[in-house]
Amino acid sequence: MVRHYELTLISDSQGGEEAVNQTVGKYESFLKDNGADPLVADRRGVRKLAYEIKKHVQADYTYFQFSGDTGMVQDMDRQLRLDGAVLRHLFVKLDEAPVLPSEETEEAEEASADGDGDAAASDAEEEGAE
Amino acid sequence: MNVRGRVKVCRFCEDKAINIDYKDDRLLRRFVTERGKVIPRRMTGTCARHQRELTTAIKRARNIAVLPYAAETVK
Repeated sequence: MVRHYELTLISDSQGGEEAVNQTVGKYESFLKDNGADPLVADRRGVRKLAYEIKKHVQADYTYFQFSGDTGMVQDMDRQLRLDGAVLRHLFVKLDEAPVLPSEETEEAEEASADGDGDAAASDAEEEGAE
Repeated sequence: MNVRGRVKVCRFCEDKAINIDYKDDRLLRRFVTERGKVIPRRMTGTCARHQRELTTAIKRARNIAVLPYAAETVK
């Protein structure tokens, strides 16, 4: 059965950029080879972790959005768990099929989200003072 | 009469454009305390449905180290 998923991949960044690219590339091709379509990869780069994972304070974040077979996801989950270069991973079911976005729409969405966020911050502070 | 002084409206109902996304730590951080606990609905005014979505998002974010489970012990 085909479902829509989002996968978060947190890979060890200590081996340098090349090692990260290799890990991410490995799973990207795994997805492609197993018929994940459409497949959207979102590389966020190295980011500070909110808490230490296996003594790592930072790691590389990549998000994949794809539609794929449930069995394939199970397979991949098993592999990810055994892979020492992957610190953490998370599959999340999506309601809708991922769309390959044109870059303009993506940026517009982000901009509006940021604006709202700031407004809420001041609200929250007021509440706390009361 | 009104202890809180004013009635808060759910942010996510007011602005449908905001997506509750577990990757968006900037947004989620406004709904957890400094220690990392989820802020209750009565403080933020979030409606039941969106609070539910929020808590799931926060829990997912914790899992992928975007948000802390608990802040560091004592400063």
